Amino acid sequence: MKPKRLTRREILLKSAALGSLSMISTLSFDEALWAWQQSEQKPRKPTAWDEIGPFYKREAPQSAQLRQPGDAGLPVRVSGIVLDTKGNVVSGAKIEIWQANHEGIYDLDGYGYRATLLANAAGKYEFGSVMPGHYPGRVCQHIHYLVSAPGHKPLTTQLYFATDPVFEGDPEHNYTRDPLIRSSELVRPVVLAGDPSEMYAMVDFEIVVERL
Amino acid sequence: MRATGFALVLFAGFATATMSQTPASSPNVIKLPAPLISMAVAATSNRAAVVSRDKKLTLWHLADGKLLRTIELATADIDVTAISDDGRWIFTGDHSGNVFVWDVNSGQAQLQLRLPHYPAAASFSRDSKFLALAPMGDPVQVFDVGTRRMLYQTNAVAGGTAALAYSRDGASIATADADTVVRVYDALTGKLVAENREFLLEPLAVDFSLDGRQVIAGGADSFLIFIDAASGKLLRRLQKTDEPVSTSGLRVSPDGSLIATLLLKAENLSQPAPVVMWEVSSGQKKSQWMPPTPALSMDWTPDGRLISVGAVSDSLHIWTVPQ
Repeated sequence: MKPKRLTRREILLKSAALGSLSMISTLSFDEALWAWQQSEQKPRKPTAWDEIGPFYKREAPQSAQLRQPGDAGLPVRVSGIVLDTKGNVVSGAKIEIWQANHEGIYDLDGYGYRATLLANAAGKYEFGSVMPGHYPGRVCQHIHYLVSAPGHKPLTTQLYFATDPVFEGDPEHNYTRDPLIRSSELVRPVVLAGDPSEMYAMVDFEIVVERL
Repeated sequence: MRATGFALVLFAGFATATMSQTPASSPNVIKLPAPLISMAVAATSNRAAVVSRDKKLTLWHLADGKLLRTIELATADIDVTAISDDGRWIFTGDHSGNVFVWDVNSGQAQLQLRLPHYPAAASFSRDSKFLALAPMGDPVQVFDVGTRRMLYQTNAVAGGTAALAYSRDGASIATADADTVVRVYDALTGKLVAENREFLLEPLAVDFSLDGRQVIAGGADSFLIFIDAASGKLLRRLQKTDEPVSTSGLRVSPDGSLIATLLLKAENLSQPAPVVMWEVSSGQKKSQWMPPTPALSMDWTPDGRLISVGAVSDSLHIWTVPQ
C-alpha cells in the first residue's frame, strides 16, 4: 500500500476538519493559508556540496524507476523538492542520480541504477530504487546527485541514510566517520513503510540550489 | 633487513621485474618513519615526496635512498601531494582545504591558500615555474610559484576537474573534467582552446604527446583516446582496458613512444590493479604488470624506465616496470 504525501493545503484542511486546528484569527482561511505559506517561503541554506566521485555517466535515461523487477535489496523511494535559497520552487531542474547496486557495485558498462529526472512544476521529484550497498573504498551507503537548472549554480552532492550501520544510530555525531560527508544535513532520516512482506524505505531529500 | 626510525633499507640499484603477474625480483624499499598517507614521484629528478601519518613531509632521493628534507605539517590528512620535475617544489593539500607549496631548499612555505573544499589534483609545469591546481568541484587555478600570484582561473565546470597535465613546452594545460569532457587551455591565459566529448563516463587521467599536439586521456570508460590538442577532434581510440584508468594514472614516456597507464580496480579500490604499457605508434598494448599492492604513483625516469611505487605498512616499494 502506497502512502500518500499530503500537500500543505490538505494538511491544514484535515487539521481544521478534525478540530486540531482552530482559527482564532480574524483572517479568512484562505488568507491565513496564504500568510502561512509566505512565512514558510523563508531563505534557505544551499544544500551542502559533496564531491561528484569518479563514476558519473552522462546521458542517463529519464526514468523514475531504477529498480528492476527481481532486483535484490531493500526498495527505497526518494522524494523531495528543488528550491532556491529564497525558498522559490525551481521547476524543471535536471536531477541526475547514480548509485551502486545492493552489493555496492557501480554499473560502468550500462545505465543500471542511473537516471535523469526533471523536477515538476511544483519543483518536486521522486524515484524508486534499492538501498545502495557499501562500496568498497567508501564508508557509507550513498546516492550521487548532480542538479542543474538554468540561472543556478550546478550542485553536486550525495544523499546518505541515517539507518546506515556506520552511524550506529547517531548520524549527528558519527557522520564524520565518512570523510567525504561534509554536513550531517546530507544524512536523511529513513521511514520504513509497507506491510512486513513488502517493506520499503522512504527518504525525503530537499535540494536547495544557489542562483548564479 | 629492517631499520627503525628514519633509517633506510635500499637494495642496490633498481630491480628489474619480469613481465609475469608477480615480479620475480625484489623492489627497492625505503623504510618510512610512519605509515604513508600520500606521495608523489618526480623521476626526472629521482625524488619522491612522502607524507606519513606522523605529520611529516619527507623528500627522498630514489637513487641512493637518502633523506633530503623533512618538513613538519599541521596535519596528516593530506589528499593531494605533487612534486615539481626539478624536485624544488612540493605541493600538499589537506582535507580541510589548506594547500601549501613548500620550498625544498628552505623547508618553508612558498605559497599558502585556503580552498572552499579540498584539492582534487595539482600539477607543476615542466619548467617548475607554474602550478595548476584543481580544487574539488571548482575551476582550475593557475599560480606563478615564484611570485605567489594567481594568474587566472578557468570557467566553472559541473563537478570540477579530476586530473590535469601541462604540455612539455608549458603552452597548454589539459584537464579531465567530471562532466565527462576533456578540455585543453592556453596555459598562459586560461583561454579554452578545445573540448572533446568522446567519453560517457568521467575521464580521470590526461597527458600530452611529446610535441604537445595531442592529448591522451583515459578514465572510467576504460579506454584511451588521442585528441587533437588544437581542435579537440578525436584522432584515435585504443582497445578497451580491463579496468578504468586511475586518477592521474597516465604518463607518456620521455621519448614519446610509450604510454603507461595505472588502472584501478573499480569494484574495490583497495585491491591492486595492473600497470599497462601501450605503444604509441601502433596503439597496441605492449605489456602488463600486476603490482602486489595497489600502486600509488608512477613516473618515468629520464632514461626511460617506468617506476611504480606502492606501499606496504611503513615502507615504500619502488618497482621498475617491465616494458
